[in-house]
Amino acid sequence: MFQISNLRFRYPRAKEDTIRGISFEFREGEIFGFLGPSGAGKSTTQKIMTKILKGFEGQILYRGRDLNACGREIFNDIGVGFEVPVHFSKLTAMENIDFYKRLYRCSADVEWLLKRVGLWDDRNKKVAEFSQGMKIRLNFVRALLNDPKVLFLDEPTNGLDPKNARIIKDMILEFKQSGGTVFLTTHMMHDADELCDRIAFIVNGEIREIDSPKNLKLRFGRRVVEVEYRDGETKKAMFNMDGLGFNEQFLDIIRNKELVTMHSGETTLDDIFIKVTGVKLHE
Amino acid sequence: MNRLLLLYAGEVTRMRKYGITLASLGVAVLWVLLLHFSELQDISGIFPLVLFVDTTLMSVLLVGVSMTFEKQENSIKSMLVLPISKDDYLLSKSLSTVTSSITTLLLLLVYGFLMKGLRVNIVGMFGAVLLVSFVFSQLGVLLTYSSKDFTSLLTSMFKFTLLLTIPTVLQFLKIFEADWFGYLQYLNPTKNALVLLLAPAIAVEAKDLLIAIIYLAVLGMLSFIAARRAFDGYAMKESGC
Repeated sequence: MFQISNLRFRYPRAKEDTIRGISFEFREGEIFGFLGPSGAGKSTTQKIMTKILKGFEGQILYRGRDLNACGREIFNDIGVGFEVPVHFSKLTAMENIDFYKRLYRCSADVEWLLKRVGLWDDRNKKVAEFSQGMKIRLNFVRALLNDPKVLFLDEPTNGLDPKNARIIKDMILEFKQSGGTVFLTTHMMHDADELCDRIAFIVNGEIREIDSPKNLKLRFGRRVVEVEYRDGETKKAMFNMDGLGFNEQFLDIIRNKELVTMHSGETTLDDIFIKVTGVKLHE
Repeated sequence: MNRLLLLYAGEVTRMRKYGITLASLGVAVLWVLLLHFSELQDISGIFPLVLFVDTTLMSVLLVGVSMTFEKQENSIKSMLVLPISKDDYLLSKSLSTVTSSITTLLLLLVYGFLMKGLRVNIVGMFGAVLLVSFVFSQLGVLLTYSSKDFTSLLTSMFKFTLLLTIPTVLQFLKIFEADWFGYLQYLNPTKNALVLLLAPAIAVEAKDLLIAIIYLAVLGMLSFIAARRAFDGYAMKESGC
């Protein structure tokens, strides 16, 4: 869908490149996560791919066509979901939607979308009266208005309660199942783990890792099993996963002791993020 | 429907919803009251001066307010990912401002004809308001590009008034009539706007009128090209970079 080769970008008046020769691709029907600490170049990369930033070096191909040669009509194929609310606050939700919808060649079923995110009953309220969560959900509807082929989403569940975050994540997965492609920028490792087919970690404008969440967890994890059990007092033991079924000490524990916890050494995306980027998640 | 027309319709709706249209109409009513209480029987001389303030300063302000709201609410980000050209975006801003100026002109003309027996060349007046409002709305776009927020925009407008508008009013009222000042004023867009607006109401020198038309037409084109060129930088800045 998008092929990025040796992409470089420097902001005017900046001394160094923000994006330093990155190359990757994401395929049709894939959810591709783009993760990294603040200032790593995630948003810049997304803005370049959505034609907001110009003057980059390297090549970006959209469906085999040079992005620079694609006119503004490309936005009939692309939906962009922003992290912050981007609505006209003194217009109602429906007036906002009507304005944007008519500027596109195709349009999605607005009633279905608004009902799905729970905003149909509030469609005639001014956006200024909406809560932050409602505005974020309206952002998501705005991104899907043109029935896009590719969705660029920036922190789509940020600021949502678990129930509404679940709805948005389900809609992202349904979008993928219907053949759509998603480029997801997020700090929420749990979302990335749950949604993404592949993820890339970007640090200081360079891509450090690209793989599926499962492969990354296997590569960065340890092939061990950690058992916590009671034997008078609570004890811990660690066993190599290879040949575990023949390990007498392990078998003795699970047969004869009271187990408290048992974990495999598979790591989490949170840990991989910290290892790869060198920064903690809250930084 | 054509995307420019859709954008224009959206602009007009937002101007109404955000109270910009109401404020503009309020100012137009103030002009009517000013004309009414001026006790002048022949308002042909002052009529263009009232329009001059409205089509120059108000055009800059209306565009500035509209774009400042877009910046404050981040809706500019949403506009940047639409299948519209920057020409459509910029022209829709100007067209909605021109509409507001034409509305004010209509209100003033109705009052002038009914209450004061105003005699002006209507076609000429509409043409003048259209051109002046378009040029100054584009200047408003350029001023807004360089303004961080609404306060900064008002500061720029204050400088604009001090340096460009007040000298023209002083010249019109014959308070300052030095030759060098008269020549210098040919470079001032507000002086040329006033000449164009005076022409349908009172006699102006043909040479001055010709200079004003050419000056404003060229300035309109140049300011549109400049607004177009600077748009990408503005888009980059407002997208949060």
